[in-house]
Amino acid sequence: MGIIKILLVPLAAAFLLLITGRTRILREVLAVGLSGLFLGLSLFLYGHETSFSLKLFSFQLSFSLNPLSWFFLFMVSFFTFLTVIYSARFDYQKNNLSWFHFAFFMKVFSMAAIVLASDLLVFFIFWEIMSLFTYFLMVQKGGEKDFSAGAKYLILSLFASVVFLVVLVSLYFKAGSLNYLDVSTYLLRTNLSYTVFVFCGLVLAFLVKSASFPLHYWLPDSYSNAPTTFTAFLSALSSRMGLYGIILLIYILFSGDLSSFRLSHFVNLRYILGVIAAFTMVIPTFTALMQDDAKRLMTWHSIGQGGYMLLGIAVGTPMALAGGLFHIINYASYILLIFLGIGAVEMRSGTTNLNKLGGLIKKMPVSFLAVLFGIIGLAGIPPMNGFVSKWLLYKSTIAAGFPFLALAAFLGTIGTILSVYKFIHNIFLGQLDGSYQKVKEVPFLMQLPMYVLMVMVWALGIFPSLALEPISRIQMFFGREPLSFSTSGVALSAGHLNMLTINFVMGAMLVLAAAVFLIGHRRIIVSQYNNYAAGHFLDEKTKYNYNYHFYPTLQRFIDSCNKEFINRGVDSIARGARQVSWFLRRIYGGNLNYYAWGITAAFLIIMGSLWFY
Amino acid sequence: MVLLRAGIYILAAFFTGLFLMGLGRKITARLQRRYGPPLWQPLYDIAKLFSKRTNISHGLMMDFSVIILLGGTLLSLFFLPNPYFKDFLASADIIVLLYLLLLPSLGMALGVGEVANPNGSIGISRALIMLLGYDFTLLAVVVGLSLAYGGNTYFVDIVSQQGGSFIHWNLFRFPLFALAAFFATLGMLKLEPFEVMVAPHEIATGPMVEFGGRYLGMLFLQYSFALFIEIGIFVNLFLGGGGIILFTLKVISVFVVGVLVNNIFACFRTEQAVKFFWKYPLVLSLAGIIMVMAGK
Repeated sequence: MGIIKILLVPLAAAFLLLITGRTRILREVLAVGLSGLFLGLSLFLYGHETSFSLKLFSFQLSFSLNPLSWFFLFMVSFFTFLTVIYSARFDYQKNNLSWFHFAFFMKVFSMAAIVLASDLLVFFIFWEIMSLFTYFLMVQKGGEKDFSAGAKYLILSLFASVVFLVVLVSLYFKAGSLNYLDVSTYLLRTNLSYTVFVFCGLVLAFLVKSASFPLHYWLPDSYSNAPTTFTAFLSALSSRMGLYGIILLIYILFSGDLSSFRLSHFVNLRYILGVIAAFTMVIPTFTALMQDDAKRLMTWHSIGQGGYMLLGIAVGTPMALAGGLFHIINYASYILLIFLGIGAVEMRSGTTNLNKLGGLIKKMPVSFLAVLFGIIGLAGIPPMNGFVSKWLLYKSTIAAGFPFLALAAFLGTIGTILSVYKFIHNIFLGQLDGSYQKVKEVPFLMQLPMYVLMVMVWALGIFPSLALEPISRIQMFFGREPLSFSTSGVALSAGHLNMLTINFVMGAMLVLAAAVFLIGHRRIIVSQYNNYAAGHFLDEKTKYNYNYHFYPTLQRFIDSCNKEFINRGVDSIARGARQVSWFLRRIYGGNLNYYAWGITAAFLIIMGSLWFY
Repeated sequence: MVLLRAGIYILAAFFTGLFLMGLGRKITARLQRRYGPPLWQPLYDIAKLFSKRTNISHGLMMDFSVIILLGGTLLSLFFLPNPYFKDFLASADIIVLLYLLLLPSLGMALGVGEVANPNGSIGISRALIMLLGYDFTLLAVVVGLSLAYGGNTYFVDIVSQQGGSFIHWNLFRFPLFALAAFFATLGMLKLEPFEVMVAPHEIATGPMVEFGGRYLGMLFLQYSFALFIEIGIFVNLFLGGGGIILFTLKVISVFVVGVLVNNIFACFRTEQAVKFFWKYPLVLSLAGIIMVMAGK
């Protein structure tokens, strides 16, 4: 019964908030309380395995809780809770908050239902509900740009759904049931070509949702136009639902080995997924480097980091799978942290334009620290959590004999380091513009989730076992060998990773360095205008900052080969389609002459072909 | 006892690095037919910088940046296979070490950002783009080497497998990797032709623009350790490590070769340096990887 309870909580929250949305206090207390209850219930379910089903017409709708669904359920509930606390004090420009909360909790409800489903039909139904409410949240601000971005999302989602539905119908008639177990046993004994058809159809649908290259271009527009709290939640979790689908597909529906599905002698599905992962890691990351908007920059990273998770899932050795799954939760924690920081900056300064901000470190130190912790995690630099999962991925990819995939991962990481430095520099470092002199730190309730996430990002870096424990349960649930880990790292036959040692030595060495630093005379703190300017006089009116066009050299490199070329290609296809439709529309012009011509032409063609035979 | 040994190791690394800095200046001077400064001039420089009366700071992040810079470098000292201090070598993984080396750079970059001088930020932008050149090359070399050792990235194993005669050194077993890694080491050490971000003629337009007094002293201190670590990585990867005397001699000889190269090249611009890395050393290491894969 635990399943139905946990599903009812977000559903109840959605409708209660729709009714009470107008009273601020009531709304916030209800939202925080119910999402807290949701988190509590999901924590309580840890280690349980139950199932539950209900009958709708002639279909059996079944749900079940297993280690994999618990892992995702926990993430959904935990990050929902933090987002809700943060958004209680967030300053929304428009006042349709009851609708916002309704759509938000409906989305959370459908995400929870997706991960708890044990039937492809249930999965599909809630998948569609999720897409619908994601669209509502995206267009919530209601601008022209939002609608066009939302439409882009909707069209791609519909495409994925149609593919999904085709596979579903075919599977239902072939296998007789859509339950995961039945589908999996059917796929084991059917012929290879049908299996490959099912696999490719489903993987296509999931790759769209997880925004993998080359189906990623819808994501930046649609996510970055949503309200920032929601962009945070979307980036952290929403596109990971596609990844959940891929994991489900590979490890539950196809319990076999990926490399046994061969398309030719050299090409098998494992390679194909690996190559998709490699492109997803590199190209979106270097596109992120070129962005001038904080939210857009980070949404490009949410595509790029998905590549690392896909890499782990595709390589599939115990260490790689553990790394991929670990990266999902790590990524969610630090990207949410970064977006909470962006939200704070946006609320206080009114912009997320990287060319206009700068120097906010002294005004918003907590947000700076939050973003700093987040970017260290995102860039995969020790001692934060992102490093541990990326290390697992690098090492397992090399050990599995894919050196070029490992190189793609390394290249993606270097690109990430470059872009996150630009990001933090342009917002918090450099010269503070005069117009931001009065900016203050955000209220405590908005800082609270940041503190929680900062602790989480570092704690998972010191004690990876906190996450590797549930992950090893997932691996055992898949019938795979789990990764052997210790409390603070990974135990290997030769040499191990011990993050506690690294953190301990780091602490000691920082103390030593601080002691060295204290030698000598007192330091004098000067203002930002007391600066070397080659003899020029600096004051508040002088713009003395470097943030526009941060990596000019690289920009020239990348412009020649990349610059959102997929996006441009798709736009040109859309333009072509529009022109063709304009032409076709003229056939139905309401003018009788056209019909007369049409009928005559058709008649001639029919007669001609009859005569020909 | 452990503390004492750790202290001895830190001092040994410090003086080796200082000696190298002095030696480099001496060699350069002799090549230019000058007499050159005393061998221990870098030590006097550091003492002078720490006794300066004016120490200009632009805020807390700048103070922390030099602390992270030095502390992070000292941290990676303990995960480098070395003849002095082996207590933490159980976690000496080559990939971990290369990423630990990024922590001080990040600290420095944050500090330079806070000084609010566009020249500093431009310097950091250049330094980070250079990462795409030398760091990626070095990572490619590491991938190739560990592939040759069956996916093992444990640094101590890589060193111990080169034991015995010098024939077993990776320098002779994998000459392509060694050549690529040598250029990458030059890039890490910021020697010519890859020194545009810290070149003497770029001081006013580089990361160090607002760093004076003991802030600059901290940078000098860090550079001495960085010399030891970065050359140490090359020595461990390709020259088989060794005991105290042998290790030091190998470090010195690699540095001397580096300084000679430093003196015959002019300075590359950033994009020239990155292009150079992607054209030659990276291609060499990719060819090496393919050879390793073909040999399996």
